[in-house]
Amino acid sequence: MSALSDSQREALMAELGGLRRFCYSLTGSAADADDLLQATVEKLLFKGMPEDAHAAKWSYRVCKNVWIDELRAREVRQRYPLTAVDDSTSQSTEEVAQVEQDLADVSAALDKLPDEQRMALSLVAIEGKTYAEAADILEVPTGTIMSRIARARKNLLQHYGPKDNEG
Amino acid sequence: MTDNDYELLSRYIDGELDDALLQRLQRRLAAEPELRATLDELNTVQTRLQESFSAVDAAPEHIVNMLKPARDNVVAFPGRKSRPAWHYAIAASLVAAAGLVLAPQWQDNSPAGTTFATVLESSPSSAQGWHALEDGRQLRPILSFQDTSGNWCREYLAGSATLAAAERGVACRHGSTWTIQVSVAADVPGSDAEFRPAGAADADAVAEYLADHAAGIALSRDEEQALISSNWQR
Repeated sequence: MSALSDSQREALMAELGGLRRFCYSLTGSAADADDLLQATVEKLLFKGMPEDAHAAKWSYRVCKNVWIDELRAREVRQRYPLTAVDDSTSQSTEEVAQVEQDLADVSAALDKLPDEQRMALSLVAIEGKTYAEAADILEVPTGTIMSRIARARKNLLQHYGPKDNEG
Repeated sequence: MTDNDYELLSRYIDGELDDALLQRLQRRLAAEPELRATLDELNTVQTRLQESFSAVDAAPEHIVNMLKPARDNVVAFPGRKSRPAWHYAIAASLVAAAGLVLAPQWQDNSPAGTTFATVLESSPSSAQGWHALEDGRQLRPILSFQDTSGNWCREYLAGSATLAAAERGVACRHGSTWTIQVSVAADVPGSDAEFRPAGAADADAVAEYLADHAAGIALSRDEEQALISSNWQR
């Protein structure tokens, strides 16, 4: 497979923002998100991409694979402890602080989900992929995506809400 | 609330219900307060997810630069324009094995103002010898060719002052600027083993670049000399 063409590079650059967000939703921190994004881009550059490949699907799939490799590596050397929320007073405004707090809270909630649920939910609920696209990226049947997302949402509800959900 | 209900509500939020299921669910939502309440909660979580992650889609510049087409890596002097980090990663992994130190040839032939670009612009290709650059590196044009867009390009070998590290690449002339299109770490051959231009068997980025972009075979010595004499205008 040859190196990326200019048009492939441009197509991938258009995906970088979404990929970065996907990385963030998987890893739960900016630094880890950037590491994952960089590893994904390096893999794309090294391995290239088939000419007929869809840049979005291909790049998200590569990202997913890099992340799964990373998770396996982490399992071996023990999972990283959850990083504490930075409570330094450098926040410029309360608004920024609030957004960051929300992000930290949501990330902590996502971190409690099984990885396969988290990946499916990230792709659909945050990245706006269809079930078919998510199935393509994660290389599982659409029905599996459907049930993983439903279970992920149910888990998140139970995490967030001390509401009296019986089921 | 059954798992199936959660799945229905989830598909509803994602717009993944067909018409029949959608209508049936809407009737149930109107009739079942608990189902409605759960949908509201799920919608709240959905909104929270989207809002929380709405501002984290800025990729760091150094990663964006990794994907920029190579033509943006204009040769700038003095010094070297930054190149994608992965080039350095390859270089670090490959150059470590080289460790070959040769006495720089033509060391005293180093007029001030000799840059990467001026050597590519005015020096014929050669299988041996080096042009010392003002920044301390050494450069050897290896061959010239025309790319499929009609630009003139040169394959080159560039080395550090001691030739402990070297890279091979292709630069093309756009306007009056030479731009590095691709480069990889390379071994510098000993004096008895002359450097060979990238061939079909060399599975690296330079060989791939040549295979993809060269319009034909390399220019002859006379053709190249004529182009140098005419400042690459033809």
